[in-house]
Amino acid sequence: MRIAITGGKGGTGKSTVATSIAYEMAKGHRTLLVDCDVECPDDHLLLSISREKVQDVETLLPSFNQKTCQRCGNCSRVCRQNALVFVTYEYPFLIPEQCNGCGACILACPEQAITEDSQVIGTIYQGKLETQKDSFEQGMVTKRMAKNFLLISGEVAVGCEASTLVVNATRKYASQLEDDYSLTVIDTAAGTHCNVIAALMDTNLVLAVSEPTPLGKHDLDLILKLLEKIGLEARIITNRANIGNLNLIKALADEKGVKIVLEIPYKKEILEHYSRGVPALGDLVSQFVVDMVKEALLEESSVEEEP
Amino acid sequence: MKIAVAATGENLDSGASPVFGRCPYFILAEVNDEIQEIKALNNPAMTAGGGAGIQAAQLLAEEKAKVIISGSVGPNAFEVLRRFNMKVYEIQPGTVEENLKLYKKGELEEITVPGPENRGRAGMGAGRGGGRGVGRRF
Ligand code: SF4
Ligand code: SF4
Repeated sequence: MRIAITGGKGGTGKSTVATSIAYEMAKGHRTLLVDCDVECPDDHLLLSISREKVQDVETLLPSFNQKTCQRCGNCSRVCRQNALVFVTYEYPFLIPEQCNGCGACILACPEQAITEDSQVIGTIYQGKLETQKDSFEQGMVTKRMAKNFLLISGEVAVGCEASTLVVNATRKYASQLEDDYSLTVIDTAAGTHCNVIAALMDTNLVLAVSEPTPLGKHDLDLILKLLEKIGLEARIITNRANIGNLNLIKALADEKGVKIVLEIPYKKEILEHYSRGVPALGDLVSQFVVDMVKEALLEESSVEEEP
Repeated sequence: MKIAVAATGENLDSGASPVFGRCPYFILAEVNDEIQEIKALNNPAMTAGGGAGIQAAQLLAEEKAKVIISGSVGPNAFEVLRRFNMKVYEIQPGTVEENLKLYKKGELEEITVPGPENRGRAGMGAGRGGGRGVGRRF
């Protein structure tokens, strides 16, 4: 089963929820946490995990041969990314950070002056939870949890526009491992751009984290509309539920027929945990996780019963 | 010398626009002893998805402008201007003509470093990629 955690503008607590759920789940289930917030991955920071690189994400990069180029400008005209600059009588030139490797310029060149090269646009990392032998704190990592848990984290190269490609590559890498895990938790970027959609695709359930403010409601509305369009099952989690106006979110939830499954209050402890690198929402999330998994397992078994 | 000024309207009396990639017009003028308007260029990049600044810079290079008067220019567009030896001067509030006069008097400051990257997501706040401006990049 795959669940995705998404949310409005940065800081709604998306990553806190994602890491907490994965952490709680790892106590009893094989859990893969996939950080697809590739422009700003932070799940490893929240869990105090030191990541190791597993592979680069590469994409096609056009390479130009000035000997055969007739300076016609076709390549620049077909580039939807505006990555190829062409000025009459000059050779075209490429802005690699802007190129998404679509290859259209190569097809458009009448002189075969463009060939395929490649560039690194991001990196995929993995990381494990570290067991804390001497810690008697609540929420310490047991050996079993550490064994159950794996973080996959994608990160786009600085200044690179192609974050969607990095998300796709990260998802692909994670999917090769999924057979070995019973739950995949995907942390998406904020908002509703292409890279978020790439992270949401083919998930069984999406948890939208929202703050009970007018802006939070506005963002949530956009996210729910998007999820409806893609046809994904959605639930709402409210964060800092006690300091905003929860009715804003409740009204929207009613209107859309989407359940609010968890209300996370604003508490000092949560902030303290947060700054210590221990998932903050322990008890709060654990019951929720148990319920969610039960519900999901029920659904799965009822699906299997069909012919 | 040909100078292009980022503008909100189509002539020398129009207001100066503080944005480079997404200003509605560039006013192209010949500036020697006199200031003479050549034409208003519709900025096709105004509604572009990503790379608006690059497209605008390409347009101005095509028109052989040597000096651009505008607000800050993102790193990619800056690279394009640099390649074509075009200089950027910081625009001041007022009209296009007032800016050209300031330039003639040597009172505008040259911009020598690119400004922050504008990733083409309208309405998004500063900092990390946020969730506003839906639909722009589909
Ligand atoms: S590969 Fe695609 S995005 Fe890159 S320069 Fe060519 S046409 Fe543009
Ligand atoms: S399409 Fe080919 S020949 Fe034409 S400008 Fe581009 S590289 Fe040169």
